[in-house]
Amino acid sequence: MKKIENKKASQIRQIWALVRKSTFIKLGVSIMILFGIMAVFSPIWIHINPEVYDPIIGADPNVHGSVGPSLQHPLGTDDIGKDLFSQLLRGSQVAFMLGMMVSVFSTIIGAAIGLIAGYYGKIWDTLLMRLADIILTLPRLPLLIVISGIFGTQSNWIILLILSLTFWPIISRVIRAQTLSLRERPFIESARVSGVGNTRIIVKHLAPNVLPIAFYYLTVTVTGAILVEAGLSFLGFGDPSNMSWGMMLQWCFVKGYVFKAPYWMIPPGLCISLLAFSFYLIGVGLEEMVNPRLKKR
Amino acid sequence: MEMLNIEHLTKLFPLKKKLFSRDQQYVHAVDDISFKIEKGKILGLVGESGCGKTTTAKLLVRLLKPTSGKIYIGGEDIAGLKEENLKKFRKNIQMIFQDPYESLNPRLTIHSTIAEPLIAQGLYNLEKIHDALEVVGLKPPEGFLYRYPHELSGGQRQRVAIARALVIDPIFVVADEPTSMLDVSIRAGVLNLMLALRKSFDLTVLFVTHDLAVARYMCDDIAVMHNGKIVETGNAEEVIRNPKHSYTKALLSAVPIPDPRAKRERIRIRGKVV
Amino acid sequence: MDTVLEIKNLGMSYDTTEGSVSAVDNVSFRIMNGEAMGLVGESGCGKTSLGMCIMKLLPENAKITNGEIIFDGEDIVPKTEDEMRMIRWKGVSMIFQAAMNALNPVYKVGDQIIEAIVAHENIKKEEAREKVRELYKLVGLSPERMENYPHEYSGGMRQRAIIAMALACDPKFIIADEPTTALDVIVQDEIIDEIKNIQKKLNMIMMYISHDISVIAETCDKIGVMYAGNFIEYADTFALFDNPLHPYTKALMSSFPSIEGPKKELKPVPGEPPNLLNPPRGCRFYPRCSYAEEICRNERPEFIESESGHFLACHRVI
Repeated sequence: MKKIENKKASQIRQIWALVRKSTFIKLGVSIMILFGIMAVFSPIWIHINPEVYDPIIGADPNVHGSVGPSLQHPLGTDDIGKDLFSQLLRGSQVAFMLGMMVSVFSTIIGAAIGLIAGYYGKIWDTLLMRLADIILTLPRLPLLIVISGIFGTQSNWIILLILSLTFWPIISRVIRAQTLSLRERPFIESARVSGVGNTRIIVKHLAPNVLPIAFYYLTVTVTGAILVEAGLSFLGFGDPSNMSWGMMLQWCFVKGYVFKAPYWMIPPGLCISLLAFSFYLIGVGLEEMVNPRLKKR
Repeated sequence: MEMLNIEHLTKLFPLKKKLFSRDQQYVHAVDDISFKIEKGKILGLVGESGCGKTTTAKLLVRLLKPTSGKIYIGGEDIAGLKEENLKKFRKNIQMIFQDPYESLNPRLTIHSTIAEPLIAQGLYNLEKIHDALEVVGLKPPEGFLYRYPHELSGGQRQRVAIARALVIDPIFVVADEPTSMLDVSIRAGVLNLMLALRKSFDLTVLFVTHDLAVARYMCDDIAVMHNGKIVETGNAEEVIRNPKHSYTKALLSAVPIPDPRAKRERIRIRGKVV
Repeated sequence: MDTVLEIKNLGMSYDTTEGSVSAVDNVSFRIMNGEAMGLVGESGCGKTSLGMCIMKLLPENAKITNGEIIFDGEDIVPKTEDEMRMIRWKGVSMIFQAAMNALNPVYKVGDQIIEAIVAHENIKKEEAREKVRELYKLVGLSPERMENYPHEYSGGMRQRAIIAMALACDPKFIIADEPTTALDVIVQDEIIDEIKNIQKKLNMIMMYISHDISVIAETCDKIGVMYAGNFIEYADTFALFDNPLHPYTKALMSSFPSIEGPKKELKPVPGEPPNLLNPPRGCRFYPRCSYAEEICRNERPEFIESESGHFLACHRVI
């Protein structure tokens, strides 16, 4: 058994060696780590500072109207004296959590559905893929707006749920296509001849072979989820009990500070683009590793 | 006593329907074939690509469901069995595939690969895996158990595939061009191994190949297949020396001979417009 | 007879992430006017790499390390890519293995060959079309077929079209790299006959690369046997079959089943071909050879003429 562990360890080392070679992944991961530090730093920053720095309830009573960066407020404040730096930190936390969770959930759902549709085929394939088609054609933003109307209020959990349920079809289509071609491969046929059951074939033979691709799409989904959340918040459908980058932009816009306060407007915009970009870079790097045709020799 | 008895086996593949066309058209991949293999014998199924020999092989191990006909293995008809009822019979019949690079899952160790049929039948036993590896000449077995397919050469991989097929003591083995992807210097070793195993395990084998010379070397009997039908069957040596059917004659005359002096009458089928 | 192609001490290696692989090492032979030479060996023995060296169609990570390739009296190793472009097609042409991939699916086959001729020769399109008609007749295709697309051709017809294309600029030397591997026996037989006839008719020299010694036996006047990047035996076809000298050649011949003669037991060659990243120091066949002695392990055997016209690299036989 020890030998197996050694093999696993050496596999991980091999993957790490590949990752280290890819400039895209290195750059993407560096940016991501930066935001990760910001997200972790957010509660610490609030804890060590007085309540006026709380991104949601706090406001500096000594400040009148929006002011630019100062020693007390590194990025300045908004029009009612809330600290923008605190908001930015909290925003990275929200973006991170939401993006990650949406991508993990939708990848799990998408991979499972893709594998089932691809392997069993026939009626399963038709049903699941038509369902995917329907969901893909549903307009995501209006749907969210309608649902927030039904619930009366919007919370990040509903956004999470809706995004997970609307992002999986893209992944499941790719996984299904991959499964279809794998299903005809002799090693699957030989497993069937060996008497291996369907569930085991899916779990043991198909899933490990499609996972690298699923992982690549995971990074693409994170980008999508971050952008959609920002868009929703900007339109005023964010979670009002929380703070996100999109919401910062929305307040800036609503209060009419777009051209007056670049210190308010630019940081969240830049953060959204940078975080989305970092996942995109990781995705491109991963695709290079997964797709041998893109590999440079 | 015959181990395997095929009666009127047929497999049709539906063609894509043309728009507005009412009747469904079919490709007759295997067209009403019948043959028998006696216990302990090797039957060579010979033909060119697309003649239906691989489809026949897949029907016999029930990777495909026959359109009609009967497949008796040890007296039991398996042609109509449903997927759920096949598991018991999978213990008796195994298959060796053409391409050893493709037929082993790249992400499983040799141990997991060979263990698979045992686990499926609830018979897992490390001892058996050791024995199977030793029998196919991969010694010492410990040296191979935890390696991955890509760390082995083509010949070693095909030996692993043979070990997996034999580890649950099947009574009937279908070998689909098991050596056509191997290098010549390796090929003879695998062929000899299969002949030796046939003897020690008392196996009944259907050996699918396009190469008449290999079929002659390996098989007791030969069945020649052409366009989904069996056109000639008989004792291997007899078919090679004294072919009856014109297609067999054409096939034989096209086989290159490793002897520059072999001047032979060549018969061509110029059926296709060239 | 004149020597058309002479290869002297040719060496070629690939740079890989794990080190340098010497795929062709110390190869020397010559092909006389009108001769067909067969190159036989297992996959990975360097036979295709050798063909690519002569065409100078090498991948980026490969380079010719030493030796000369004298074609028509000139060494082509130092030639530039522009000079090579003229030599290819007009001088040396190649019939590739995968006929499927060599033709563009969206153009008519005839037009593709016409394009190739117009690009290399200073003639009008109509003349080129006439020439392709002639070529089609030569390779046994009906000239009407020029108007068809590749998918409308069968595998054998596609291979014939590829041969026509290779002959388009009247080459003096043609390299056929496993031209029939993907084909069925009957079609293979027809194509082999066709290639052999055309080669004799046009008086070209040919190098026929194959892993199948029986195909070589039917097509070629001379045979070169390659093992692990080395030329180990080179002789007239009849001489080689009557009297194979190298242990590997002998082993190769007794590992092939035949449909003729009495049924013989096949004798496999023990072991596996060596890893060329780290080939054996002496004779590269030494670890698998049943005649090996101490000298075989330590000293590389010279490739020398052991009998008239019969070249060999082995310590034991001489």
